[in-house]
Amino acid sequence: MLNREVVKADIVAGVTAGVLILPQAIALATLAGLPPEYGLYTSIFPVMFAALFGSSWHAMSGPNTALSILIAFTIAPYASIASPEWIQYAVTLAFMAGIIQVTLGMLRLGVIFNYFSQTVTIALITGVGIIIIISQLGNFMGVLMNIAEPIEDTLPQVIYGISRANGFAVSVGIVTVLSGLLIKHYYPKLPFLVIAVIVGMLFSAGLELTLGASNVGLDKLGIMSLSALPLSSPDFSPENFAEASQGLLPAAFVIAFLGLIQASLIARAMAIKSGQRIDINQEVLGQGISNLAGSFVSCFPSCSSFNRSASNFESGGRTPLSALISVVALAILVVFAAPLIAHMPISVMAAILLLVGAGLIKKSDIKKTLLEKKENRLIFGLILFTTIYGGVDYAVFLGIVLSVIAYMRNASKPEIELLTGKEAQQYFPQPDSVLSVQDTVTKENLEHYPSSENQYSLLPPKERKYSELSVEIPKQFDHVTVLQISGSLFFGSVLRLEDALTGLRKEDGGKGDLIISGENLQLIDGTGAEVLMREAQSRIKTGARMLLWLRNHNHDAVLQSSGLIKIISEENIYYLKENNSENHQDNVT
Amino acid sequence: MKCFFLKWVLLFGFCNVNALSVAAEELGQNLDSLEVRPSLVNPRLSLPTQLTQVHVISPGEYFAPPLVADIPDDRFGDMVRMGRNIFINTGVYAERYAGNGLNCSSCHLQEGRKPHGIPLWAAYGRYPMYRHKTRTVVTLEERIQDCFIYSMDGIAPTLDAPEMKALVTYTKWLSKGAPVGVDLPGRGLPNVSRTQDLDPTRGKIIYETHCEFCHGKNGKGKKYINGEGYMFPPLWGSESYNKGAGMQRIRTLAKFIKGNMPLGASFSLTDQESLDTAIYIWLQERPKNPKVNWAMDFFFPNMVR
Repeated sequence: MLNREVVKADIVAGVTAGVLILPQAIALATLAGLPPEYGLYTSIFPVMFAALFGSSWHAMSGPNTALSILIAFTIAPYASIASPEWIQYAVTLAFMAGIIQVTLGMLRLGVIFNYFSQTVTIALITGVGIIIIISQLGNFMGVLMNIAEPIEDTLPQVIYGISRANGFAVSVGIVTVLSGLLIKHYYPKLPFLVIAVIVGMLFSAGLELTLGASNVGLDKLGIMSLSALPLSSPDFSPENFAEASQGLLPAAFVIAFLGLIQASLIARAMAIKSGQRIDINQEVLGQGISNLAGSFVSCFPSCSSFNRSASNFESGGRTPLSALISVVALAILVVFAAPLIAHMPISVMAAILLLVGAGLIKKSDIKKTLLEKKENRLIFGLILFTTIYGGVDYAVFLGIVLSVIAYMRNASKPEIELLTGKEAQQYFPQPDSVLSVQDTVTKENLEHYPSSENQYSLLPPKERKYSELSVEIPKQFDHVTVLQISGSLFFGSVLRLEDALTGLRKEDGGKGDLIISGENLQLIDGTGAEVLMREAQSRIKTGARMLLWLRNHNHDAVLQSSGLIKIISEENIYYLKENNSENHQDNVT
Repeated sequence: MKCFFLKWVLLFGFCNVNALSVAAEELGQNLDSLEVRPSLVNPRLSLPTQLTQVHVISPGEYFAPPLVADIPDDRFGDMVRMGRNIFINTGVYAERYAGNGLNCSSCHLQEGRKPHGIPLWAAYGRYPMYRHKTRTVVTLEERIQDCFIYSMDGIAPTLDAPEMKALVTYTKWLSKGAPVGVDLPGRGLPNVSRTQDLDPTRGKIIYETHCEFCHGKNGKGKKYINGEGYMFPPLWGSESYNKGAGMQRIRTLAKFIKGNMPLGASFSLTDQESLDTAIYIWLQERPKNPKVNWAMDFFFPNMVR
């Protein structure tokens, strides 16, 4: 598996990833309200653990935009930004999220994250991008903002803050953003974030040299105090945890879910590109372990990062070795870059976050999902609105609910069609091709149906001629309607059936014959059967008949228990396939 | 004045630490609350005790900040303690922003308590105030930022930084009971008379006889034995304040020397001696003023800064 060539490719990809992560690590830590050191720790330890224990060979873990926003908004009411309590809460959150994720992985529940609607994810990420952009405008202008307050309050603050803006900070920020955009556009292969940081810092250094550092008055990041093994531990002691538990506990679930949703999405996307088979539960377990272990080495919650995973794959990474090498590369880079990073202006960092935030708003993805289906527009709008105005956590909960609803609607929406006249004729029972339940060969049946040989026959019933049997064949269909149902007929979807039946009753007064064609019926439950039964009852009372077509015997148990078979009577139920049914096999022997 | 001082030095020199603190506590209970109390708990134990005490010259003359032992055991108290740690050990607790070897308490002596030693309790009630240096009204936080930029030759903590919060909290706690908007006795630094006759050669002699024992040759200061931080701060060189700092103004430095130096022997130097020492220190090499820039040098070469 590991030969010279693969190792070489991994080293190249790993070093690239290590350099790429540096500006993001610092920026995302600040976004989460933590000192920049913690962003670096989070880009080192969880990456290592996720690579070692995860399933995907290309996914790269680390600090994540949505999680960072979520962390900041969760802890903000309970601690002041970047204070020791804030850091403690972030570490505790990582521990709790890790426990939840490990539990999910052990219970092999990772599959559920495959069902999270892609539209919801796109809307969430778009919302996070918008939040990042708005929340960083203050830093961009060199104006102090109340961090982690609702976005509708931040926006007016930004507008009022324009008059207080530091022109030098704004110009440094604009230079950074412009250089990033230009490089992204003209040299898409270069790491535009890293270059944007370098350009922004060079520009600010030039400004300070020409105009004097204290005249320019840029807020700086400050000297980092890094440690090789920054031990920490989650704190659940009552005096520290109790007051915040109300906010942190639900947030831990949201963080765990949001992390896994993104991780599974990334793992699958990478697997599609690379052809690797992903064990989603292993991936969930890996994410959990990375958070759990991270909480003991000063890391805040992390998950796979889409950008870095994609760039890792593109720069040739083939095994988790590239992630491990990126960790080493980052650690070495930090040692040399730390004195320089100390003088990184806050507005450069805000500009980087603006670029990151703008990168999260992927127009092509949004367009695709909006054009795909009508209901996607509603889901997208709802989730986007909730993310921005209610917070990421509410949006995740709503997203889970909407995903389930959308899934139920899509997968189970029965298609109901009414056919009359000539179109309906194909559903009239054809004596040659179809046999009813009664035709299955049993002792009693054989006695009942006199056949020419009058002996047990082991021939498949299909080969027996319908004409030989003395079953009453429905012949006269004058006012017949065919009700074609495909999909699932269950408590959630009977409403449509009832609507169709009511409409039909208005037309024929409930007196015409009715053929229900359920060959494509995937699922029917008691409620669905009952609706059909009521209809059958009322029609049979008026003297009309009701016929039921089914594909096979799979639904017999439901129909039997609901009493539908009794009312329609078995001879009026027709099956397309007799062979596959188990009932049939029993009857033969 | 000198006589007074000598008497107290002798008295304190014979006391040991415990007896002194007990005595001071008893005194505090009996006397007016506006008496000067010693700081009692030494920030770094290697300093001789008598050098870090406030000598009660006349009880009630100066405001008495609360005792370190009175820091409450709650979140506020934690913040005060954090602020105190930053104040007396800036290089460790505010590593992110400190740029040289100085601590806050290098200038604000005795943890910011000493009258005529730029005490915090006298400053807290005066902010926000107009400053000539910036020609704006500045808040306490902005003033602290300037401390970090110039005196600490470092990076200004942002206004929302926890370090900033802790320092302001410590200042507030230290000025518990102090009136607002009043120029308290002992505020800032004592005055020195104006003179045109400054001589760095005389200053050099004074430095070598009075200061060099602690501040070392070449003003390098003296580190703790474990090598972490300075017991006596460096006066010039790369580890000292930069050319934009307040101490780089000769008169300010002379006031500081007169009121506080040599340590434990405040007001022992005359105005002239203080000024001579100040100009000697002023002439030494130190980090550049962050305000200095090419553009202004180019366009206004003759501008006095």
